[in-house]
Amino acid sequence: MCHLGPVPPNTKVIKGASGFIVKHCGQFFRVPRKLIKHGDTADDVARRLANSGRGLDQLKKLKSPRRHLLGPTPGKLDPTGQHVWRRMARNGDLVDGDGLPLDLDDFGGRDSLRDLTKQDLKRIYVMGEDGPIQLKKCDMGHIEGAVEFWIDRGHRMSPDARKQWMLDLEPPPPGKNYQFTPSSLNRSAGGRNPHRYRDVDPTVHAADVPGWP
Amino acid sequence: MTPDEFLKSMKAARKDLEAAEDARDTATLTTMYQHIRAAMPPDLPKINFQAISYTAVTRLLEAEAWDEAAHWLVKFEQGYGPDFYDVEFAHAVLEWHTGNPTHGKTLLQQVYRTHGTLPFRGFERYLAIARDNANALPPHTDTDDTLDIDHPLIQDLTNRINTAMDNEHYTDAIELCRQALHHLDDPATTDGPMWFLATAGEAYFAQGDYQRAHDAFDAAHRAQGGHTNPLVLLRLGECHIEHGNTDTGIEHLIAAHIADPTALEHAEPHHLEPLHQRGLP
Repeated sequence: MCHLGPVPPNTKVIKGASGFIVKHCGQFFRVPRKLIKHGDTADDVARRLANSGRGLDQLKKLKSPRRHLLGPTPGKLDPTGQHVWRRMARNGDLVDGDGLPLDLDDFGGRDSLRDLTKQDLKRIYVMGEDGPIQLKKCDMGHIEGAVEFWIDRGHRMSPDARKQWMLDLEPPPPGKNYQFTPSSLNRSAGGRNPHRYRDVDPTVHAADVPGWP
Repeated sequence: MTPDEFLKSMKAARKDLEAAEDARDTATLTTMYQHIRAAMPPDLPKINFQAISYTAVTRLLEAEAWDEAAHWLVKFEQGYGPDFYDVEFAHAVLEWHTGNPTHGKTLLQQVYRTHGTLPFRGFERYLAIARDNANALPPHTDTDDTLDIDHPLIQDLTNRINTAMDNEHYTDAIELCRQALHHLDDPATTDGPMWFLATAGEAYFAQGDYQRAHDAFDAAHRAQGGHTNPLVLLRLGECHIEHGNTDTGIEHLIAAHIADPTALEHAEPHHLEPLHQRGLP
């Protein structure tokens, strides 16, 4: 059973991107800076933490990434995809199952296009490198990539301004920086060197706290 | 028949084809596509040839019209080449149903290992054969009894999932996500499924199962709201890096950082190496 007493079970020190954290039963705690020295491994920090006589209740609790980044419960969401559909349909970027430009009258007319439906995902195509690709096999992709944006100007902008770019809300219309893009995942191509970044000593990054079962 | 005349006849037949598709009327679809195949002019422009053969194969496989699907697969392969993922997938399905099932299963597994869930979209029933594992997250299947995310049953499942995740009971959490997704409508057009797909992805990720984590986060990314969610972007990027798709992984990690400046704090440190090597962010 998980608890916050002085001898907590299932506790690990993990080296995260922004420092050392303690993970205990799905909860995360920040390790105080005074217990960390330059060049420490997770093993070093775990040992120093065990010797400090502190309990978990004396560490600052962090939100779990899932609750923090995903949100606590499922919610009602944005209609960006419908904006993208309308823009691409009006621009003539989509074709039908015969490879012909979409007849917008079949979808409510140019000025009053209806929402995209499940059936449409099978019957509308986007032009890809190999030819027309079913909308069902496409993802919402950035027209300007995130890396490109970051290098060009994102790194100079405030977090709020960057988020506006991500959400594609400012300036209107919404959905202008997204498009339906043919998906691609070729694991055999990418997987030629699948563990390139895992070739590290795991004890550098995670270690049990000695004496804490 | 000239190409223009043929395309006009296709347009005239569209409603009947769609009706037969919706009704899964195998006999009508087979007859119609036999006539279309016979009337197809040899000088049809490539884009029309591709789209018509793609649509035909998709419809005929869905309707389980195997013989006619095999005829159209020849044209589909001519249009897109043998390495196109949906061509490989169609060959595997036909082998499974009309050839040697053992070889068909091997082909489906190869398609899944190479292209992930992408070719299986719309044909999710073959994923179970390809993955051969009961622990895999189920694909969306149309049911008549879909619930809204505000329904008490879904909210109860949400609470139980949160408890299971907090207690690191990841297998239980995945099973509960499976139950919730069974009750919800198509993730691409419905609010709510993204949360369950991403939570299941996080459970697989915590178990170190990066392949299934990728599949779950990829589905979450395509679900409503997924393309801007920092956790989905972060983990999808990490899974891509695990698979060696470094450029795609970096793109998603930077997008996660833009969506939430604290997102990268939660990355596995070795997944950030490619960013550091390129001086990002």
